[in-house]
Amino acid sequence: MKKGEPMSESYYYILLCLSKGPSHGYGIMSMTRELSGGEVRIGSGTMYGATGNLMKKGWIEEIFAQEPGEERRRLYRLTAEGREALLGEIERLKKMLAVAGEVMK
Amino acid sequence: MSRKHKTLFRAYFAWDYEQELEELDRLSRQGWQLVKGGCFHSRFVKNEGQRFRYQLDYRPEVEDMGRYLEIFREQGWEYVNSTYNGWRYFRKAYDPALPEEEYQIFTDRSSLGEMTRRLRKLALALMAAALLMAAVEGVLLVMKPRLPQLILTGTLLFEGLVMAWGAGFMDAPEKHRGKAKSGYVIWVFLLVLVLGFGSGIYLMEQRHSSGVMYLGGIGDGSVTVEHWGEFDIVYKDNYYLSAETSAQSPLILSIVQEETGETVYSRELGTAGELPYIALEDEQMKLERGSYRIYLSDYYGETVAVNWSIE
Repeated sequence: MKKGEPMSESYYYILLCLSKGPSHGYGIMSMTRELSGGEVRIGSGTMYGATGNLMKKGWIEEIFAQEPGEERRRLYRLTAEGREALLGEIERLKKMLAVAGEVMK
Repeated sequence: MSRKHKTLFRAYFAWDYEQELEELDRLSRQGWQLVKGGCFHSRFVKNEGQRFRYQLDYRPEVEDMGRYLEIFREQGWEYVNSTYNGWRYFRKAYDPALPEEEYQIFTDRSSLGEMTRRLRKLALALMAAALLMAAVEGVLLVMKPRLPQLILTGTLLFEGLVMAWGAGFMDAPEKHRGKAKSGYVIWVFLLVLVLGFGSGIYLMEQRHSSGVMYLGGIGDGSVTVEHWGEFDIVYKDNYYLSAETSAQSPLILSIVQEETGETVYSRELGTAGELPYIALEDEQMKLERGSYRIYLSDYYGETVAVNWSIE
């Protein structure tokens, strides 16, 4: 997937979930399920591959949070570039919807 | 007392990994729980109190093992083990109330595609290696037709074609889904390879005979026949004679089968201006199983050294 190309649903939801703030893998998974009304699930294999690829692109990054009384936790955070990519995708989807609205009127 | 452990020697082609998962699920229902998955054998322990569902991830390179296992753990997957070549086994306790998607680790086409592409790449690499070697062996076969070379070329070709079939399989895995295959098919494939390579190499080793002989010093001018050497042929095939000598006068080199006394090869040397150095290279002849002798006739008693070999 290059910049400006349609995103897979998993990538889209991961970025969308992280736009609310850093989260761990499980958080992303349950939030995705919630946001999509149970329609989209991100399995572990898909999650590992997608987060790995998004990190390689520099759209998300790994941070470690040390909360009192808790273990060191691995969190994912949206980067500025990632936010830009997400907004670009939302724009693309909006345009597609608008076009559909025109045509199907 | 009933058995508590068992080892199954079932194996699958990489592209048949879904068959393996079905088999693991079936065994789990019967109370056999996987402890260690392997490419050629897997260990199970008896535990009828629980049932698991299994998933396999083919990922030879995991950049961050801690992160990898964490993501599986978070969703209730227990890591079982990895094989040496990058297959990773996971299991999850089975709960009939959970939807089927809970037991899938790949939930979209593109991530599953990434895995099948890795498998395809593997199959293509093995195919390329086998076909390249088959091409080299094939050239040698054309240059020197002989049985072990034919067996080696054929075996490599077979291996390459099976890998090509596997790579094609990975192009459209859904087309092949649901076709039940035995966990022992791969053993037949491996047996063919072992028999092919084994017999090819073994037969190749059986072919070689060679010798060195020094003659001479008598030099009285009388024509004699000298026995140069002997060799045994274990199986009927094409054989290739090479010999080197230096001589001052023409000679006749003959090969005679001991049992029948039949001359199977004879060649006059040194009549075409080749003296004093004569070399025969890869003279092809068809030989039956048996013992053979090499003779040098019309030998004038001069000093000659002879090196010969049969392959």
